[in-house]
Amino acid sequence: MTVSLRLIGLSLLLGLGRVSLADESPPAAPALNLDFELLDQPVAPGLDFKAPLNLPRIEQQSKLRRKLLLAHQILGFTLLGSMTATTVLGHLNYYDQFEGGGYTQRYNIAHTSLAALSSALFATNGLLALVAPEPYKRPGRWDTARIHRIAMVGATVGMLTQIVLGPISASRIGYENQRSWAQAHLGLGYATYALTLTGALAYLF
Amino acid sequence: MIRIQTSLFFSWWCALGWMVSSVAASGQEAPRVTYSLSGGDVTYLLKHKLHEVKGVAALAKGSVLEGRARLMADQGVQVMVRAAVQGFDSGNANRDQHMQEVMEAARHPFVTLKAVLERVDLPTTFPAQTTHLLKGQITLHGVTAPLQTPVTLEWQSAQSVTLRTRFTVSLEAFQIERPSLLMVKVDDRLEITAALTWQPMPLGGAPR
Repeated sequence: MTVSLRLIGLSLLLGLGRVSLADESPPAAPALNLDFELLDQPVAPGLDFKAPLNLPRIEQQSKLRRKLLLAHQILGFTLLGSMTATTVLGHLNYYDQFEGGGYTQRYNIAHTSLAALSSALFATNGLLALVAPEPYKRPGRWDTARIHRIAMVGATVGMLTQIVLGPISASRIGYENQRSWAQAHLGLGYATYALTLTGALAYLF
Repeated sequence: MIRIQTSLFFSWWCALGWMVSSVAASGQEAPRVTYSLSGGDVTYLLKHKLHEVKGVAALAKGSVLEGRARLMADQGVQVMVRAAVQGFDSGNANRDQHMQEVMEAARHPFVTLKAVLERVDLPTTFPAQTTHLLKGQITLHGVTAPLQTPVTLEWQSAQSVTLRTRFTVSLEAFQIERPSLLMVKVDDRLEITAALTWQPMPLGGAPR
């Protein structure tokens, strides 16, 4: 019996001693306990984890899209420069032929060459944007991206019309209506340039 | 027989002694109240030389934003907030797509914050405002990093409180490719602002 009481006392002392030892030692900084989970397993909107995601394909498409859109950006500003030069030379050409510039034809070849270059750049740049994949889709909305697209669609119509109008205007040498054709070509040239510039500026903002 | 009885008796008292000391030493107590997110939003701000990009993930838009907070018996608060990367809206579809590409949203669809607030005392009068230090971790683009930021709790009542905080993270620290425009990259700093309103959950809705 005495032995039992001693053993009981010893066990209680050992238990209490654990508390007392903790009280006596200097308190350590409590470690941050983040071992908890307050939210259920997530299901992302638009990404159904119940169906397996083709991650390699998505990532491959993302990389390709980045490369194509980077090229689109670089080519876009090159195109803007080319179209600026084409439009300036076009106006000088019109002035030279119809506004008392002396009809020297000195801007003709430069304007035609730059127009051809601008058309090629325009077509290439448009293709880059059209073929770029979209691994992450977004619902359509009225934003600067849409303004860019609308402006560039308008510029595309203008460019295609100019490709037809330019040669027709040039072929009307000697005809009374050549000036009218030239004016139409000039006006549409400015409109096409304005739409392209709008598309570029919208992209920037 | 007497020896068996003695050893059993001894074992029982030892176990009792250790149980009492364990409870006294650990201080673990059951949670008192669980709060869920009832409103608010999380916003990111990214700066470029040409402009700033601000994207917002708002609770009103559906399940893009989730949050729970648990008030413990020791007045500490555990907080967990999760926002879907796809849920951030900058107002520009192209930029949102690009953001999801650099964030690899398919692989890492969420931004998660897990943190604790020490000693949050319920105010006695309302409205009231208290400030605390949030300590925890943030997981972004699959990378987890510690986070410590001051927060303000705006108490509209005992049943409604809004948490406000603002902090910045480094994109490169989270291995996020910095987007560029006109060959100029955006700033490495990403500023995150949160204004989240919490309300107590009904009984039976407590998390694990």
